[in-house]
Amino acid sequence: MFSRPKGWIPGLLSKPKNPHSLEHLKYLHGLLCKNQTVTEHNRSLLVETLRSISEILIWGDQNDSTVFDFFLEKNMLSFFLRYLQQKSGRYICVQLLQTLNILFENISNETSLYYLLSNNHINSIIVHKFDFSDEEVMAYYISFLKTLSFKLNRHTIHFFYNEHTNDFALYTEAIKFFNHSEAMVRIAVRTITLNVYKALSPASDVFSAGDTDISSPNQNSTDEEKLMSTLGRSHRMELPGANSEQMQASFSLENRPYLEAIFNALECSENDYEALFALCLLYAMGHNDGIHQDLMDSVLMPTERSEAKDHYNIALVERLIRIITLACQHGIKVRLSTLELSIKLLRQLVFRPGRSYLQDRHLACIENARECSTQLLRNFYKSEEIFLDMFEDEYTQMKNKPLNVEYLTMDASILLPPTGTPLTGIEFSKRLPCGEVERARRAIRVFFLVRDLSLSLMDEREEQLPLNRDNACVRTNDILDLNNSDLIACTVLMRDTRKQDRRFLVIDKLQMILVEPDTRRLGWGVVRFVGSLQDVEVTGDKEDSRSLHITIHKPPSSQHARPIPLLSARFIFDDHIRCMAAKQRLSKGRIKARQQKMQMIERLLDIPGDSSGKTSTPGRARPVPGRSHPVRVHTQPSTTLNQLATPESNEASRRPKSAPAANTSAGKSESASRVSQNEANVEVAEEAAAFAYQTFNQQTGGAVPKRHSPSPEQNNSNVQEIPLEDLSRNKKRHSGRKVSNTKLTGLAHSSSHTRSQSHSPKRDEGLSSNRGRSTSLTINVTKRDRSSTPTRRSHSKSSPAPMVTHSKSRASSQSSASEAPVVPRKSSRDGSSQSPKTLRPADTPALSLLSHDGLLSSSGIDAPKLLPPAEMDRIRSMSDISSTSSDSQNEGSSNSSQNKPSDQRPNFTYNSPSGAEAEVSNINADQNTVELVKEGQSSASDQLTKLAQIVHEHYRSFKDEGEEETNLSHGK
Amino acid sequence: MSYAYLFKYIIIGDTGVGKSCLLLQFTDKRFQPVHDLTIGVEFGARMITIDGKQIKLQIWDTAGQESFRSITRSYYRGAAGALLVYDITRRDTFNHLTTWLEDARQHSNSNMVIMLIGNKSDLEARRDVKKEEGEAFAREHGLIFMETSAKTAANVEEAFINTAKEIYQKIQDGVFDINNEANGIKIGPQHSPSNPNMPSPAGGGSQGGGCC
Repeated sequence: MFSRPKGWIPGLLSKPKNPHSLEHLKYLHGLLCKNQTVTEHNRSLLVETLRSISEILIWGDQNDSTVFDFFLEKNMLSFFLRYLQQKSGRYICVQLLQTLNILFENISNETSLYYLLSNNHINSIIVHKFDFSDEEVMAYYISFLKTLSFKLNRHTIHFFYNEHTNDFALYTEAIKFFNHSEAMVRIAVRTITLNVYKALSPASDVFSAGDTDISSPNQNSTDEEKLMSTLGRSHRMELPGANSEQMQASFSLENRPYLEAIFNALECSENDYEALFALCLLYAMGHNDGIHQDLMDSVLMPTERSEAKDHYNIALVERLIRIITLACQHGIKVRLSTLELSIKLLRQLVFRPGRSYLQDRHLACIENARECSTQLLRNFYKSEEIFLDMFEDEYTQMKNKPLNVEYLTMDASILLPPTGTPLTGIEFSKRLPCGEVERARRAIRVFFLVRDLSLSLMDEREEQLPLNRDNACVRTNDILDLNNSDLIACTVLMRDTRKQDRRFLVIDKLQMILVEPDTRRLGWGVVRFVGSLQDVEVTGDKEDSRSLHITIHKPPSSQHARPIPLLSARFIFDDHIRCMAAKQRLSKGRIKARQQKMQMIERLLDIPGDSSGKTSTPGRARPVPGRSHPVRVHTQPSTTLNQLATPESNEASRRPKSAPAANTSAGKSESASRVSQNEANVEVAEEAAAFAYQTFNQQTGGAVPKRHSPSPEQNNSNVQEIPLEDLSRNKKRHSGRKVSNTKLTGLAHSSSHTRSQSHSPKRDEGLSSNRGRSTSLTINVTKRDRSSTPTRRSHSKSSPAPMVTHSKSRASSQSSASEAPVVPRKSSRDGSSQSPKTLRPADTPALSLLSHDGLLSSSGIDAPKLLPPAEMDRIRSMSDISSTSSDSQNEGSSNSSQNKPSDQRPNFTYNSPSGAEAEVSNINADQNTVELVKEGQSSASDQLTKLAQIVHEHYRSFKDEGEEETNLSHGK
Repeated sequence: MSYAYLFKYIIIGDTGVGKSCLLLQFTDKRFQPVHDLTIGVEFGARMITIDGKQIKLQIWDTAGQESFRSITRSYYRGAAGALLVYDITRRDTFNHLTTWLEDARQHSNSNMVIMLIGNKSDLEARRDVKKEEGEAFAREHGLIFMETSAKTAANVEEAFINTAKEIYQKIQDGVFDINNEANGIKIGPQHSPSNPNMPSPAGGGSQGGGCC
């Protein structure tokens, strides 16, 4: 009561005296003492008092130390804090913040500053719950923090770390406003953050007090270096001496904070954001020459430099395996890059070329992952075309663009959190899949990657991928022996260049090939274009029944790139029948090629074969011929079509050889042939006339018409042609069974057989497969030569005519179909193995010619004679061929088992059911029969052979002269 | 409130030796068994009488933690006296005295009076450092030595006052330049108006005599 007026009056009086004096501060202190509680009434007074205090203190800081002494003595800071704690403190908190702000901003005496900062007073102000919805409070608060942050240095930073709450309030409170709507606030937050970091960076020892190692000038120390300095040299001595096996067992992450942090970052169950960086780092460590191998060894991380990798870091390997296993699960956020890098790193740790050091239990994990990846992909498997395209596309991408860690780390996009949006433009492997298609792609890629890893760890070679076996494929400028191939002459009109070329179309099992006759060797051709059959798009021409529009797209380099046409051209054939035949064979070839590959995929994925069995049967029956006779020579005696076709096809095969002599005429005739079919035919005929061939052909052609009408015989012949190849194999393989089967084989039988074959071609063949294949090829050739013309076949296929024996015919067709998958592979392999560049095992041209001739003649003769002779011919031809190629091959082929139905086919091929039976009998007889056949054949075809020889001689004489001209003509 | 002289002190020593408790005992005459770790510095002040003169002691109590060592150093300068405290029950605090002493000598003015204090003398049973050892160390380094107990207040007054006496004596001896605040000594305010030319009433004669 009494003191109040006292306090008031002197205060009012003393105030004007000198605002900047110790007395004034004493007076203000008195005011504070009398107003320890903030109320509505004293609010403005206190605000003014606080404002004055800051003013005096700053003045005192520069002019009179006693002023601050007084402030200290009276512990005036505690007044401030107490006001703040009061409920009504909000009335003056803006002023309080301003006062403090001024104090900290202006006090130059460091002992004073330190005092203000001491004992968490400021921290408690910082964490005080101000009303931040008040803009003014917000503004003063944030600028107070900012002011404080400028006082941060490596000494004062200790004031701001509250050990009790384990909090760095200045920082943690400030960043709460990083996203504040006020730009000024955000800027202040950034300033504060930077100031905090600035204070932290020069003295990383701040928060590791007592740890003298870190404060050493070498901040880039490793766990090991730290350990060394801690334990002294004794430890160093231990390391190399320690038994590495013990090390592997005893390795722990204790005392290895850095490594532990990296290892822990490999956890991918949430996402793989950090894991990818950790992997990059670990990978880089293994490739950094600057890191001593000793150091890497001490943490059991072998590198490419390591001689042996017996002892690897189990903790790390298990983490890697976990990533790999995770990646094989559905809906897991592990990017492909992460998976690939994990695999890379795993290889680095445990794999040396040809040797894996992975322990069995870990290997089991990898195998399990592989199984999971297969399972995963199986879920995406569809028998749609797009799946195959994707499958092959992903494979080439994986092979062509293996992960480059250096580039990966240069890519800024990996700094972003993993995203699934393709629109970001981030590469597929560096983001998560989006949508079903991308998930399928990812599953495919995971499958490839894990499979590849598994195979190399097991030291197995990849046998099933890629689906395209390069060595089995023909390339441009290869020279092929086309003597026994099906060729269709055509004129190719390129759409873009308008260039016109006369070519022969060869349809392999996987490829569409355009050849130009080789001028040097008769019956050989130079490959001018190769396209994948599965990518062929054929459309007819409404205007012109002889034309086809064929487009082949290059497999797209990337998913989003527009496919570039490899070939886009109009093919003009000599007549509409050939055109249709070509179209049919192309489209069937496409389907077949794809089916075949799909089956390969199914096998890869262990998808049960029932689907393939079902799908294959209908498709196979037709395509078989096409497939099985990738390279057939058109020399069929029968069918009107044959008449037309044969000459040309013969032409094609002949030309190379005949070229020298007949080239001039041939070249001209070629060009002429484009004009019209008839003309072409005529020309062809003319050309042919020069050769002994022609006569045969014509004869055969003449003979054909009779057969041509859809008759059992014909059908048989058609069917037979194809099966012939098969027969050769069948004979020897199934010789025992054949007899019984041949007649009995109904559809069911045949089909079942076919299935079994189709599914297990590779397995069954085993070691003998090579032989069998090769033989089969040769055999095929002969068969084709003799009996079948491509056009015919197609016909026969398209309309399996009523057969003499229905069951047989069907069976044969089926069997052929079933065999087809087997055959093409075999043949292709054979070709590759024997003479990589020829589709067929390259007999010497002369020989092939001979056989050809012989076949032609025989076929011609046979055809009219119908069944019995046909059989004989066939058998003979086969034997001939085999003899030409090699007897052993035949045997081999026989070893490669084929079905009984196939046995039947041969009969059919000869166009004579009886013949077929005869064959069967022959087959039963096995080799003996074969030999017999040979004899018989030779006798039968003797004349032909001789004729052919004569012709050959004739050509040779012309060769020298003709060569120049041929070259010229080809140059065109 | 008026004083003839103002002496600034600093209390240093390892963490947990009882620096803040000594201060509290001296300024508030009370003991706080559980005391928060000092963050940075604390401040205390008390008036004493020496030789009939009012002398104000301003005492900076510092954090013993290593991390605040650099903060502590900024308080040496401007201190007339230092209380170097160790814990008689913890030998390591005694062993660290050399370091503290070096630090103090390095950063303070050369005339600073340093009082070596072995605190926690009440814990005789747990004594780890003999009194003789403390005496020996003090003798060796030219310090005043006392054993105190902040808990029982034994020797606490004496410790601060004896230090003040020593400083006062040095002032009387003319060793201190009392006009330099950096020495941690200030002349009381009442002197300036009444006797501006006389630095101190008591020592004025001798000092003045020295000057003139």
